[in-house]
Amino acid sequence: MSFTLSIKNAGKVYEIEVDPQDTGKVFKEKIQQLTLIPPERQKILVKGGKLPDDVLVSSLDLNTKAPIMVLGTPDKNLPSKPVEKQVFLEDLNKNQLVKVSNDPSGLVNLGNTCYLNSTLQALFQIDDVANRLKDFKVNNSGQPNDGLVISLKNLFQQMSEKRESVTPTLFLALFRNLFPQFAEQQHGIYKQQDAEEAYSQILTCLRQTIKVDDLFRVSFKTKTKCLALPEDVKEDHEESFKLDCHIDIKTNFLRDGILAGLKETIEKYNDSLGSNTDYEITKTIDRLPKYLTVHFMRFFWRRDINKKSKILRRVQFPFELDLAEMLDDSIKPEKVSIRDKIRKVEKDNLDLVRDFKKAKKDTTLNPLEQQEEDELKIASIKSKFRDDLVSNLPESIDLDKTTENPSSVYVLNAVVTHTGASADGGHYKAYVKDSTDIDGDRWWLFNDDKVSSVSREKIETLAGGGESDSALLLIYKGLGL
Amino acid sequence: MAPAQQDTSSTQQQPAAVEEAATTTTTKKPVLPEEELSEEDQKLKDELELLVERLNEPNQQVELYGKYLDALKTFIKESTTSMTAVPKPLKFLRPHYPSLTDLYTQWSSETYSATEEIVVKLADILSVLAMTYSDDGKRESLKYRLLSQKESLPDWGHEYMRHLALEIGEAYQEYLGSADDEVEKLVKLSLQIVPFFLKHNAEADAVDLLLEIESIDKLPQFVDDNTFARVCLYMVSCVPLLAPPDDVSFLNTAFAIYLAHGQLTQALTLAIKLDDEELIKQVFNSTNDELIHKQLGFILSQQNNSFKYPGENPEVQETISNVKLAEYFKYLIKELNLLEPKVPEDIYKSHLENTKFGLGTSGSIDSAKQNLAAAFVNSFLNLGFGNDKLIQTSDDNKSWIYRTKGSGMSSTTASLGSIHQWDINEGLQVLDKYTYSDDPEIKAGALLGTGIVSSNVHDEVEAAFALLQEYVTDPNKLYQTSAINGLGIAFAGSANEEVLNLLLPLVSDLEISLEISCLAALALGHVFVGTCHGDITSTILQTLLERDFTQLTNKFIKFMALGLGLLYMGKTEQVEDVLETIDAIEHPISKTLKVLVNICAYAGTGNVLQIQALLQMCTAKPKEQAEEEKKLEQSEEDQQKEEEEAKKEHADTTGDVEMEDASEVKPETEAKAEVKDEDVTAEEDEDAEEQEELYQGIAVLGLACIAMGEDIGQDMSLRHFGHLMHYGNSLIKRAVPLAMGLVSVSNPQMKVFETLSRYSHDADLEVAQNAIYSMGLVGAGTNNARLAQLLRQLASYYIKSPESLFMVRIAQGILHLGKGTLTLTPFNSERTIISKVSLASLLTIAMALLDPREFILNDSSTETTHQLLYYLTPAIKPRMLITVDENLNPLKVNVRVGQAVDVVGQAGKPKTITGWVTQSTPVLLNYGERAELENTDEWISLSHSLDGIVILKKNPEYMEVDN
Repeated sequence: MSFTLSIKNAGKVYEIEVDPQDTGKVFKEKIQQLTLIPPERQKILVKGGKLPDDVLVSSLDLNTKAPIMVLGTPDKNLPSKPVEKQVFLEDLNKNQLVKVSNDPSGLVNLGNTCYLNSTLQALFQIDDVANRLKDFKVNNSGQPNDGLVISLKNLFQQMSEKRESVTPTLFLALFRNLFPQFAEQQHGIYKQQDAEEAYSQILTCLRQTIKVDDLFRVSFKTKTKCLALPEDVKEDHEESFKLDCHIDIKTNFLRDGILAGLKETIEKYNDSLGSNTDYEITKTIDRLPKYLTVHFMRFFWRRDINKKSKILRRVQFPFELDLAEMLDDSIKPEKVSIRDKIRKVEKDNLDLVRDFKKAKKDTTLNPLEQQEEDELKIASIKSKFRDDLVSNLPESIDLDKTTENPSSVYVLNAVVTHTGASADGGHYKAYVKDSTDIDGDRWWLFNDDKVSSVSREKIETLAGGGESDSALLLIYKGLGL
Repeated sequence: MAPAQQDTSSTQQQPAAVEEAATTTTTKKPVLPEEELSEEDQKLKDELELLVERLNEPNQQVELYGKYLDALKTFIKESTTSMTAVPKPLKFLRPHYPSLTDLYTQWSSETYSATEEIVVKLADILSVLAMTYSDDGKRESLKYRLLSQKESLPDWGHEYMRHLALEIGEAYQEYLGSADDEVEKLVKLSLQIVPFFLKHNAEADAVDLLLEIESIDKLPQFVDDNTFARVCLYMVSCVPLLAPPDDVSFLNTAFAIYLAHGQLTQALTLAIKLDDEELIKQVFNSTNDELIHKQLGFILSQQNNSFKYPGENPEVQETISNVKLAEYFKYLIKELNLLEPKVPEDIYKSHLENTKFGLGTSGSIDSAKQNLAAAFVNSFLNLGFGNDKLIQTSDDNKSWIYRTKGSGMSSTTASLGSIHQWDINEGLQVLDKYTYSDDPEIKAGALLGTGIVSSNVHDEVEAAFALLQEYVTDPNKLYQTSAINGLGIAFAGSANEEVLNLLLPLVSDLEISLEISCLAALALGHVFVGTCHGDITSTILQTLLERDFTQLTNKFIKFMALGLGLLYMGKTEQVEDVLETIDAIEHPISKTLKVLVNICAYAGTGNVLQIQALLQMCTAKPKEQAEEEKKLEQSEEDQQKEEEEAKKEHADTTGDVEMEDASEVKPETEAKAEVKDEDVTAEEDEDAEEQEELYQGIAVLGLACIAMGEDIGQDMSLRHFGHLMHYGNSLIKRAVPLAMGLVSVSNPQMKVFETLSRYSHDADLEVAQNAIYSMGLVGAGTNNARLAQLLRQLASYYIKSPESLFMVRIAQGILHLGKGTLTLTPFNSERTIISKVSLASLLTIAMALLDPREFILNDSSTETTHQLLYYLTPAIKPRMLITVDENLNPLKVNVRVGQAVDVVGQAGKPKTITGWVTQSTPVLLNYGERAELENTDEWISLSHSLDGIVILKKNPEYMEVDN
């Protein structure tokens, strides 16, 4: 007498008519007709294990009410291998690994050289300097600086390869050789130095060899007015390669400090009066370079204790610095009008950036594709911005070639900070904006050979006010450039 | 020792305080010149003095004396005063107490016989008056009470009863063993007092008194339907504070009371706590109601108990064996609207990390290790949901499996088992096709997955066994290890004999590789957790002896030891025999073995003696190191000295304690002797030194295992861990974060995870990695936002360290276990009972992480040790409350969910939850939350505690009110 068994496979229940003489094999063949699973791949799970081929199904003590579990996979469902072989990070050797890494290189500390490392990182991020260095060739001029510049060129070359870390041994040796004040030793070890001094020295070298004056030169119109004789006004011209931010008890913002530096009163001998009298010197800026360096005058020499000290005062600095109020009237209207134009273009493009940020990541892409896609999008946003800018600005301004800032606004690009209370110790670090990040939210922190990424909020905390990181050098770049 | 002390002091405290008040007021009196008394008081005083005078006048009629005594008694009884003041009559009679005692002596020895009515009456009054003289330690209240009649006992009120109870306790300790008839009298008296206490809402006093006279077993006859609940609640919450064997007798008594009053689910939890299969059977046998059997089954099912239902109905066995768990869980997630699968990126939220796009260190190319981490995260995240977006893709060859490599593919394939957790039919079918894969790794993964999917779910077919058995002896080691691990996970706690027969030969076979032997032993440990299985014990010990000693430095050997330990999980004293056997064998790892077996045996008990012994082990140093330190010490600063002092203190305190309790101490003193011996040999043997450290690491884990059972101990242990982190060696430091994780699994307390977060930046990467894992563990299945944030920061921080990043990912996965619907906590039924199976799982991972690089973080192509992570599976369970009707179909009712309140010893009917929210079932229960039915008129819950799956019965008397 035949009986019915129900089987369960892949969530479906099938009824099977079983003859008392049916062996496991026959039973499996019947199942195959229903489920397309070949008998050899059928696993029929009954009490006590899998159903063997040569046993009579009827001889088993089966619960006819509950369905029997049958496992198996029809031919078409067998797993297939992927077409291409996946390559993994772990499979790569060290050199290949370097290529896929996007992080910038750190610089190894060679003994109290963090001031130099930070300075170099800040310089390295200035594209124009890096590019001009790349083109630099020794022309046998016998300049003493040539060797140093060549070694800097090599150093930058290595850094652009994005290795894990670079050791600036040669550069350091030449640097100390050339500027013995940085080779000062105490107890047999090299002393900590002022990063700003190093920055200025290197910049001086570069000005002599690769002519970068135009990128950094700020020029002022000075008016010297004798306070006793208002009609005695002398006009003059001055140049500088950085703006100083003087810090006193009233300085809370970067602007205060710069303004304080633009106006000073001195005592000087006056011929017509025949005695010493007060003169007021007022400076106005009449040239804005592409790159603006701002120096917080935190270090000063205290006579009473004969020591170099540090002003810990908190001085806030903006991510976008507008110098309009310090400009000379001759250039002010133009700069301001260009500023407004750029602002307008920026505003129009804001939505694009926002959309990009908001866009949900496509989960079907693998990370590599994802990154490429993102890079493409960023590039397109940037080029659109550029195009809009060019079409909106007067034709006289060539955004690619200009070494002046067409507007009065600067964007913060790098910060060199100093930690610690004293000028002779402490630690220098550099914070550099990640140029690949579209809204400037991501910054690189260079702590010698350790490179990590931090957010924009971290930069805001660098204003000082304690012994933690406080900004010493700011490097701004013209808006839209 | 502490529990016993604590307990006695707590019982004594209250009466003592009152009595103190009494004595101070009374002793002050004579010093002051006669205080001005009110007219009323003066009258009372005069009357009382008159009565005393009369009594002292000899040669009067007996009846007259009787009258005086009655009058006295009335005065005393009728005085009503506030709680704090001494009753006036007592105050005024106090000066006459000595004269009255003399009178009693005279009467009882000369004038009348001691049984004369008035003599007895006098004794009665004296007994009360003696309360004011209690500070001399003569226990005269008791003395006169025993000399007076019985019936008048309850007349004197509560305060007197408590005073008597106190004196009985003291007397009992004194007479015990010396004066048996006195003891008998005391017991008899106590049994009179107990009903009084019970009648007057002083259940705690009743229980305490019975504890003092060691007769708790006599309690059941006195309790009735009104008192049993409070009595039992008090008793059960006393248990963690009691020293053996009192704790067991308390549980047994409470069990008997619950059983007698038909509270079967509560009785069952106690039976589980007692770990006695006979008692469980008794609970089942005490009713024929199959619906209740099913409810009992649901409670048992959370324990993954191997209990076999004695009755006929297969449905009951199904509830015990979790057969429908997948169904209920699917219902839960459907109701909570969580069906949409999540991908790891959803919880990484790497756009919030300060890093580059994508996975891995570079972002531009896949890292196999991070992809493996993603596979684990994916499996944790979608555990039991049955669908996911990574592995089960529409195009087979695009599956995430192929985005991992080598042994990683095994674990990735096995994660299919997790995704289909508990759903055997579906899960096995999905895995089936991978058993035909050309890649041996994928096939091995499918085998492991088969085990994972069947974890905790059993039926009579036992598909996992049928499918895996042939691979256990496969020549391919990959298949073999996967099958063994699979069996261990699938049958955890089931005590399945077939698995035993299959795996035991592997343990003893000296020809096969040690790795296989150890994994087989570990699997057996899980399957037979807490069974004290003799055959396995002897086989493992035998194997350890027979294996070449050089092999015993193998990293896997600790799993063989753990396998042995798990067998004795929660068995407390029953472990003594094995410990002795281990002692007897001379063996390099015998100490590790001993510690391990010991901590398993006392896991979850909160046993203070064990904790102290373990702490001592942690501070012990190998001799060489100690010497070195001595040299250093001279030059070093105070800190070092402090440490030494702290150590000495430890040694002192434990030493003292050990003297007091002879029976308990034995193993410890032996252990200590052992420590010394080992120290000597350590100098000669370098391998032994490694073992030396290993046992210290295990001891730290042991602290956590033992302390987790009891709240106060748990808090204290956190402090100990802080100390160990300061002063311990590197292995101890590595174990500390793990231990911190273990004590608060799925209980994200701020103080714990903030500390762990600090450790997660430790200079020792392994400490940091373990801290990261533990951060996941404390938040397991909670989706805790703060932890998620911390882990995200860690992901940025460790972006360049693939191993640490891997761990961060795992922790993130565990934190979001089942999208926040599951839990890893080893406690069930409102934290009252501990699941041995869960604890075994957690302990296994912790053991593996004592050396993270060798196991979980190992990339080796020959070993698939990251598979061990799947040993977490048996510990995973939904943290849900599902109410079902009598046909076991889900039912929606309103429940209030709120923070549980401890109501032990509170008067009246206090609320058991606070700050509640009314929700409709199914609901998720967080740590420390309790649910109660909103409409108790309409529905009757068959279980005393609302968690897991609860059957509701419609109240037959319920009438729907129309408006």
